Amino acid sequence: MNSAKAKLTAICIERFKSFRNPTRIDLAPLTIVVGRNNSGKSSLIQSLLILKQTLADPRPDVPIRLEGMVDAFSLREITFGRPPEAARVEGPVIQLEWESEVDTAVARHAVGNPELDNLVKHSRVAWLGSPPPKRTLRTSLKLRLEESEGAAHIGSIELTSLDGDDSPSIQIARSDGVWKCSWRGSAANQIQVELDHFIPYLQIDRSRTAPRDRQRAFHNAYVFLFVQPLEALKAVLSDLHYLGSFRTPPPSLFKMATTPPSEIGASGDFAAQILHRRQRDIVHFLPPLQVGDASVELPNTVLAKPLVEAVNLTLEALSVKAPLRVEEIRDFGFRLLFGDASLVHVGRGLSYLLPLVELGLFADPLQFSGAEGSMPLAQYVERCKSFAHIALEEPEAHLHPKVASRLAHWLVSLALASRRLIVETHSDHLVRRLRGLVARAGAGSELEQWLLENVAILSVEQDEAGESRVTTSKLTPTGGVGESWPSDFMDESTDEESAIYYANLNKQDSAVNAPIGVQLLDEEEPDADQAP
Amino acid sequence: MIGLLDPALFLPRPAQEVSEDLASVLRICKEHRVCLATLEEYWKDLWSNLAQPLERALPADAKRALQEVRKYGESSNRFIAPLSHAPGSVWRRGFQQLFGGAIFASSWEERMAAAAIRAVASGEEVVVFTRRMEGRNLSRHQAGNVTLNENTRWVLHLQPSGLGHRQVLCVHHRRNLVDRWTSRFDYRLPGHAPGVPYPFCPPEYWWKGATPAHRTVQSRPAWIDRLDNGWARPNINGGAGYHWDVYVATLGRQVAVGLDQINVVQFGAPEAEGSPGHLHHEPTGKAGMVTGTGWTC
Repeated sequence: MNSAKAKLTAICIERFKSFRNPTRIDLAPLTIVVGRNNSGKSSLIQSLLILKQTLADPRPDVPIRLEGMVDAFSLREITFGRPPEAARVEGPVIQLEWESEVDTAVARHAVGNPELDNLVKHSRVAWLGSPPPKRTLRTSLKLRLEESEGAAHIGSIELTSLDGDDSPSIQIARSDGVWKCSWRGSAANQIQVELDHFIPYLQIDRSRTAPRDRQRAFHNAYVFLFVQPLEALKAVLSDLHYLGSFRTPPPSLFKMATTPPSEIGASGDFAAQILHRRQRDIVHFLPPLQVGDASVELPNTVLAKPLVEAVNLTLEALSVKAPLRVEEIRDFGFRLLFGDASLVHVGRGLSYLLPLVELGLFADPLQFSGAEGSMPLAQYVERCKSFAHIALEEPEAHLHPKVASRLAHWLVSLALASRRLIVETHSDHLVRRLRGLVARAGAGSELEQWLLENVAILSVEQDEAGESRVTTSKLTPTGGVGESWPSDFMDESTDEESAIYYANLNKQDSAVNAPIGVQLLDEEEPDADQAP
Repeated sequence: MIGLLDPALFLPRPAQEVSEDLASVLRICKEHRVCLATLEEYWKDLWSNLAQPLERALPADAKRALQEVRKYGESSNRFIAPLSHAPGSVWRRGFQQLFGGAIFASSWEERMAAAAIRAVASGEEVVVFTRRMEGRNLSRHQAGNVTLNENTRWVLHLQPSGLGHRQVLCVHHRRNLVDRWTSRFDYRLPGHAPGVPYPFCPPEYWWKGATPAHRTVQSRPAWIDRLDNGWARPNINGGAGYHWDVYVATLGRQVAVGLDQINVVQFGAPEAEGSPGHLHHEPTGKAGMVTGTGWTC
């Protein structure tokens, strides 16, 4: 888990699946992605999943892995327009931007306390002249993928520090089979490049470069600006929690896990085992918002509860009344029971909802630490040294509209409590409830402000040529959607209501409209002595 | 209270106008518990002939306002007895002015007359939510940058059988049901209330056609109150500003006030502009002359 308070802030993709042109998506604490089927909305999450599954490969020489959550026969298959086979094919470009905190003392120590004036002179990064103990940096990693001889490769890498007006960057490209780098366009041949998958590591032989050497200064600047952010990015991607829209059908009896799983699994595969192994371990969570007809308050108490109790409290807030419990079956395994019914015999909705609720709790940056109790939200956020990143696909699948609406309460509570979510959805109930929350929140209230600033709604549309585009909107104080109303999405149900209404009007007998003999008087209007 | 909808609210026009007008109708209905009666005399035609084509043309957010109005009306379960064979009479002039064929493809005069008679015959108070349209129920008077928007229809007259003469208020702003005189006069005029030094005092019989509502004062169109003070909009480009230029009518009152013309904060002004009915600012070169003495209605 990263401890640098790292958070992904943007994804830019190009030539990736149906995204032909460079497309930038700024990520909010709660990013909702909507769009028609096959509009390209899954591609946004998939761009992250490819990197995650690559990092999970034990062989660091695998630059990009196309087997796993995102599965492709070749890089061309996920390249826009599916180009024909050739000796070299330009593939997708994936660029990530993130924020992370850098401990400059660690960096300074790693490079042997360099002369800072010389570092500034060559790197042209002014703040390195008097680095503060901690500094939050915004960093970008741009990967150009390519296919050569039928295999997926990294074509080039660009690392940029986005902190300040003059953003220093390192370009890394392969030349004659060797990775070479340049600093702001100046070649740095003394610096060797190694890749851990797609993460570049730069080395310099200090015995062969003078302390004030220009390239040594470049390398020192790299250590300050990029080493810790890259480690943080690696942790963010490796720890990215993903729950897809499918679920593994639950067995009647679960086998106990010998070690607690570290992930819920893309289909909720390990949800039951985590629940079993961790049932008494403490998770921290902000309960789902409590919403009245005309008001909603910003919750500010984070609860610390054993996992099973936390699951039950959350399910209840989502209007699921049957309590969950874990029943051990000695020497065989365990069952999950909702009331008296086992998971196999409850509605499918519950078996879909359970991993979702559990994931939100499991993603607690303080997971399985501390004692039962509660603390103010601000204190919890302060104590969390990292943000959890969660990607969800169609979390509303198989849910009753009421529960789907209340899911919005849960997502907001998670996003308030150090989880950053990307949620792909077809649920107008969920999005409408988010709009409803901001409309209900008092004018100028803390919650209204939070929702306006921290919820982004991305609408993905694909044109006739098969190219996808994204429009990002924020909520408005009146419960509208700012820049662009997602077409054919939230209006479907209300438009259908209108269609039913007008169709019924036409079915009704029109004879009732024949005017009845009201007399129309042409005389002067009377002036009454009483006010109307 | 029963509300009827002006069919002109549903004529094609910019979406934002539709949305704002219908949101205002809903707000008034909810604030004053007005029931939108779905009387078959006009409701079905209103929705199938006017609202349906309008809804098709509206963007999603404006559609919502229209759908909400419909939902609000349809959710009413108020029973209103159907009309008998000789339900009563209405004075044509008002109905023709508002609902005649001039702006509609076919006249709504008879349908609205029947709906209004039926609603009034229920014994409840009835209002019509109207849209103001120049040349129909709105007349604009202008001198330089000063404009006066005269409402030319603020009441409809009817006589349901056995009930005698009744008036139906035409409502175009939420203030009309609080200070009813604003259905005829500008809703931005400050009303009288304890502690308000310079209120607009509506004429005693403000609703009577014979009562003059405005005239030209100092070459500007101005509303005339019961004290004969003239209230004109400030001479600011585009009709901007948050105050009224008030021409104090009599010498005695001018002496008491300190000036013959003062600037009074309008109703609905942002808080920073001052309280409605209080001095907004002293005219240039006349600082310190206002005594603070006002008037009461």
